[in-house]
Amino acid sequence: MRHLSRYSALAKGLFVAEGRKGRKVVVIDVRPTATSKQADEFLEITPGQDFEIATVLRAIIKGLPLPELPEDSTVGGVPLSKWRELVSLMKACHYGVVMFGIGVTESRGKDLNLEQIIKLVGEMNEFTRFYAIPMRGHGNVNGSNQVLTWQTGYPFAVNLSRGYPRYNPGEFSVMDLLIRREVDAALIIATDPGAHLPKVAVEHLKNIPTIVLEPHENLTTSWANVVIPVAPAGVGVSGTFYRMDNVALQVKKLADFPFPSDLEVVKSIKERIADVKDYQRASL
Amino acid sequence: MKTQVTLVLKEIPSLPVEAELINPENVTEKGIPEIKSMLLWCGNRQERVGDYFEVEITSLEESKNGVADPVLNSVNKGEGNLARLVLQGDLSKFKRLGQGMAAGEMLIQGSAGFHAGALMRGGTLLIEENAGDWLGAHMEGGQILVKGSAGHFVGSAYRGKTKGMTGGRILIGGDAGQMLGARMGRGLIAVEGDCGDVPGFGMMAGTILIQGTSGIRVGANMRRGTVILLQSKKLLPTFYYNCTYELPFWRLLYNQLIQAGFSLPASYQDVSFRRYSGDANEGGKGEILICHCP
Repeated sequence: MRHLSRYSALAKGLFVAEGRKGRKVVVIDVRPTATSKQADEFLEITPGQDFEIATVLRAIIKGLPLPELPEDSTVGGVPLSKWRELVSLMKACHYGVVMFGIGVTESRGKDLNLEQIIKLVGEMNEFTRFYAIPMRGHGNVNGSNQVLTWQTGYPFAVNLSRGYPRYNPGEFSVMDLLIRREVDAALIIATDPGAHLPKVAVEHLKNIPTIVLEPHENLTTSWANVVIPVAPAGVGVSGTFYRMDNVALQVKKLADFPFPSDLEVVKSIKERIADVKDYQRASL
Repeated sequence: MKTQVTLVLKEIPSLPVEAELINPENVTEKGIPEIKSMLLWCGNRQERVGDYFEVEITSLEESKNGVADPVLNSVNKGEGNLARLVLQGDLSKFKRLGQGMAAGEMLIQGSAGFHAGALMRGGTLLIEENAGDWLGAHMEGGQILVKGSAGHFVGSAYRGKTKGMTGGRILIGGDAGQMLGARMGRGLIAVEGDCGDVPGFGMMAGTILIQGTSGIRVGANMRRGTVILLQSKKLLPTFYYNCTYELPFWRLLYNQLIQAGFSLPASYQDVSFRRYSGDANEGGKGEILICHCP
């Protein structure tokens, strides 16, 4: 709801001085939600049809004939005429934004659904200004993407084992590595795999040495081999957060915590590893 | 003198090993110690072939008199002196086997891991059991034969690249995973069994043949190229029906596949196809041929 009031539907801007009245909000979801109640139009779709919907929307945007689809047919559980209305609404606007969430990437088709949506937004720019913004789930997910991208060139699933970054989701992404049992130790920073990953992946994590840097007790800390308590970022440590629209936000330290920050812990681990390597080299 | 180099796996490693140096060119005219000292990567450590394999070198003089294995009898020139490389054991933890090989014969008696035959330029790679994901990704020539099943992204492009396989032939005896031949430009992929979702995604040229049932969204976003389905499948609405016809090209392809050891029932020899053109969103120059079947 903060998103609606501060950034999207209700916010007043230079070109939309009247706020909500100056905007059209269309929500496409598989079930009614709090957001869909706020919308001008809510299109309830059947799950798993994202790719087909985006494909048909692209075709309608280009004015292509759809001989296989009669006018009274439905696409993704919504009548074709509704999709045509949506496209004319999109073409009529001055500045459109598609905000998509994690649901698109979880349904059948996964990343291809996104590729189709991004192509759709690209093609909408033939007619008017259009953007796509991914809605990240947790705080500062974008931050790790940002840092990895500026350090290695890739946003996630980066493998550095051979001294240079390699990127291949499906091969080097966390879930696939764990499910195929291709890792033999894990250092977990600022996340809770016990709560988010599927059971098979968690089972493998339980079998290997797992080190967790975490300010709170969670579903991972109970079985991790080593838990290093750290000060919570943004409360006990200052730093930079990245908002989901890629705006960097400086946060200040609010209170003193008896624990070090993530950065200090990782730095000292790195120093100790360097010491051990020096020792090994010296003893050769 | 033509030799055969046999690498026998000692035991299955617990962690994946990257073995892009294992290919026929690199073992030719080398002694056992030299082959054993070839480098492999396991995590951030460099290890050696000898750590994982027993190496044997035998002479293939006798096979000159007899009839050579027809499947492995490659037609490329200049590779007469290359050693025949045979790997024995379950190599599903070994990645990048035969990557970038340009000539020669490589036989894997067991399963192969990820990226087998990726970036391959020539020669023959025969995998007797299953292959992992990215089989023959960015392949430029040569041929890959898999007797078992293959993983996802066969002959496709790596992330961020626009064009995958650009030539050569991949024949799969079992099933294939998702995104078969995604973004491929030229070449042939044929699957005897079923395949997963979106075969031929965004393909630019080339031919894909699927004998079994295929997943949903066949040929989504394809620009050009041909997908041949021998089982009927509902397509995306951006594919337009053109006509039903018998195409002379099918006879040629059929004979070529039969010669290569691909099993296609004789009833498929004379069939007509329903032609669909698409994906209209990408220009509509691709075609999906669905067997109008017996």
